[in-house]
Amino acid sequence: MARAITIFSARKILTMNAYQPVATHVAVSEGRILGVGSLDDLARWGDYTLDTRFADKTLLPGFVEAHCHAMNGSVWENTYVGYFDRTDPDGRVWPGIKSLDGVLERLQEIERTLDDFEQTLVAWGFDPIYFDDGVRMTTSHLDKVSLDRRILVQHSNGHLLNVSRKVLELAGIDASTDVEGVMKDAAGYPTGELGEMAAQYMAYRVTDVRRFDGINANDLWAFARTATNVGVTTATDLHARVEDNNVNDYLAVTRDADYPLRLVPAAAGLTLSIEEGPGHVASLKRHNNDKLFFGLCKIMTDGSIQGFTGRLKWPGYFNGKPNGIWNLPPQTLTDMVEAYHSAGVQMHMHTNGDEASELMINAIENALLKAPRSDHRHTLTHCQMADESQFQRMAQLGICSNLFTNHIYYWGDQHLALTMGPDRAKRMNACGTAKRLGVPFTIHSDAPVTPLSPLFTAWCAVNRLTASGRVLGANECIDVEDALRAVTLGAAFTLHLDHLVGSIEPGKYADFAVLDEDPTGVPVEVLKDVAVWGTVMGGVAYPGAHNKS
Amino acid sequence: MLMQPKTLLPFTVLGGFLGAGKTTLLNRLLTQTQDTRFAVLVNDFGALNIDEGLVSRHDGKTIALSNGCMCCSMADGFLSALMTVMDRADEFDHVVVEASGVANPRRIMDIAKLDPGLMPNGSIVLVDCPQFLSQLEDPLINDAVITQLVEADIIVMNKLALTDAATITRVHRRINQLNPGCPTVTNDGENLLPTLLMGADHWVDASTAGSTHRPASVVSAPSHDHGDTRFRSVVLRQTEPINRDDFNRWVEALPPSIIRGKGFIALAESPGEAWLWQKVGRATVLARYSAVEELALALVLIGTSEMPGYDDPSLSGLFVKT
Repeated sequence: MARAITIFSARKILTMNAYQPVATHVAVSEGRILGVGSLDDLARWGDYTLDTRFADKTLLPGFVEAHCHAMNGSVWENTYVGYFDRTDPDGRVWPGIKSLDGVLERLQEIERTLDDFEQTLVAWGFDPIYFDDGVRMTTSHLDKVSLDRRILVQHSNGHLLNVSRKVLELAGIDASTDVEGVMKDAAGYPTGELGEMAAQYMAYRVTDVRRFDGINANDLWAFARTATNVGVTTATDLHARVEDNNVNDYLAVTRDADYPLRLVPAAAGLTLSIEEGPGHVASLKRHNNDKLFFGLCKIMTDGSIQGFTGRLKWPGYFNGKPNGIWNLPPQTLTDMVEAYHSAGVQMHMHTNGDEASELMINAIENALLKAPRSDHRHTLTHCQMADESQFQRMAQLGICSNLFTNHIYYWGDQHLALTMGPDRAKRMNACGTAKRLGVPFTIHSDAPVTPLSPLFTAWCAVNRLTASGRVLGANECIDVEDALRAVTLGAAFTLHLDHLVGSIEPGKYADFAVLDEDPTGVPVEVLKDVAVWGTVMGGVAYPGAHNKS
Repeated sequence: MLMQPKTLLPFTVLGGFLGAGKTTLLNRLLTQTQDTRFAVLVNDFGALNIDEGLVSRHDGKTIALSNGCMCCSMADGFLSALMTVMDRADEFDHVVVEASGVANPRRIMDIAKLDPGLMPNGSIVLVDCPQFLSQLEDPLINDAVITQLVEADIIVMNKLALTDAATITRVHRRINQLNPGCPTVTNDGENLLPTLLMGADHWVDASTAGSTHRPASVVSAPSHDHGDTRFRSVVLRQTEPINRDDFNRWVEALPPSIIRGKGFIALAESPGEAWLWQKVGRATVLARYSAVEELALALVLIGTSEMPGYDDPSLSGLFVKT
């Protein structure tokens, strides 16, 4: 029986395939790529259906995001109040809010829609550091939204929270409260801004906000919508709970023929015991299907640089803050690396500061000496501060890097002024060095920390512009072609999936990002603005939410 | 011994760097507790290795023990685990949090200062004596080790038997520099009674304390038979209301060998009222409590073997020994 063949025509196909980088047609059968080239070439496979709907589009391999989180969809259950424009799973753009008054207006709009008086109003993405006047939110501001409702406004850094008067009252936080993290005004009264664990604990105790215990099917469907909108066909959930209920939900959605995303959940090493974790993660591979790829483990080492909790080597933070924190004792982290490595599990290690990167490089070297293993592809993710000597060792040891280029735009100005200073800020997320030294690399959004959008992430790597418009480390810029490779084949390589996705060549899944324009044909300054129509996954077209009628 | 009202859950943080002996201590706590139902938040079930005969139920995130204790895994994060415990607060007498090897115990203790259902009961920090001096020289971890010691209410110099006298002396000196005057307990073997460190069992008779806001009177003489010669205890009974300044001077003069204290007193300024006094390490709290006729006015002090005896006027000056 002749196979059913669909040939998609496109204005241009960028394949990421070295022997044939550009083409006009791609033939698809059984969800896989049969061939790529000209229509004449592909017609020799036999009868086919020509699908011309993308005749004026540019096709790339479906984007692969190697560091994001499935909560990227469900964060939209709450109200976005961030400074930058952001698109929700339905394709609606929520304009960034540039003033505190603007934030309050948006909260008032939501307040008017709430019927249930007991419901907590939760907002996310708040970032007053960008406001010109430097004003901080207080309970008096939130009084204008409601005097009686429980309101939580989460800051974009994940470490601060503003709460309403009602929350303070229920939590028993008042002028007599004397713990770190409860900000007070000049008269000694709490302002409603809460930092640190203890203060946030009380706020969450007195509200009905969801307690996070891993992902569910609703989260995963919303996540997939956000992915399709930006051309992503393979995405990690890079700190996944892997209890039975979570595993069952990953299985349920990926078994659904209509689910438009390949999922790579990386088990959260912090949530597993060092004795049982490696075997458990390895055994999860038995659940894998064509849209689900267990087997990866996430190791958390340090905190964040903009939160001054990343672990830095000398000379430390530019503003003199003390060094950051480890999530676990360095020896325990080293032991974990050895245990997972020895079990044949691949690890993606969160390392922000250069001291954290060094610890993990040392740990991998130690593990390799004890349990030699070829082609492990352990990856330092974020890897923001790695210097040349560290990239050299990564190249020697076969370690990949996943660089957080979105940071350059969102926090680059803060890194220059506060965290790293003018010298080291230039080497942050050093794609140029990684490429020059032959370290396999990709780039990421860490969504929902920053927006999921591989074209934006690529734009950051190419232009290295901060939010204020400054070029941060021009010598680390890379070409558009390199950046596009990083968000496709580069990411697939770091996930051990480059035999299945990441380029358009025979045998791989027929996963494409469908773009309105050729990203190599526009000025590099507008790379991020190239419109995404949607995706093709497994040969099936999935329009983005903004293209659905 | 002295009855306590069971209105607030004592909240104890057990800190100390990797290898200091936290898990061993928790294991002993869970298996040796007499009357206190502990809810213990732990980092890793696997390391705990609880006797299977004690386990009554294991559901992945919690392990219930037949003696009323519960272990709760912090795999979903500390706050999630603590909320699980607090949802069932009336099932327990005491909450203990095993801080991660790199955690600052004060940050955790802040929760007990905020939560009206919890009562801060001290951060106990274990020191791995054989490793301590080299830990202080390790730039990857010395900041965490120092922070833990500086923030401790009670320090346990652990694993003494595994090192030599000269090292112990140097360790003790460094601890004193980092946290001068902090009550310090030494442990050279396997028998350190964690319930005493936590101030549990010794004060509270949980079997009868269920609902009372009305503590019974002093019911027994001080005991030396609590099974651990590294600790001593004294019960002091009050006969006359005490001048507040005299009491404060007495408290300040208590030697660092006294690690805990608790009880009720009446002050001369308001002789009809009882005040609850608590001491954890150097920290003390005195709070108005209730009308005096409901209470026996007495204090219990627990200290190390260096604690002064009954005859020492620094202890008994204001009180009548029982």
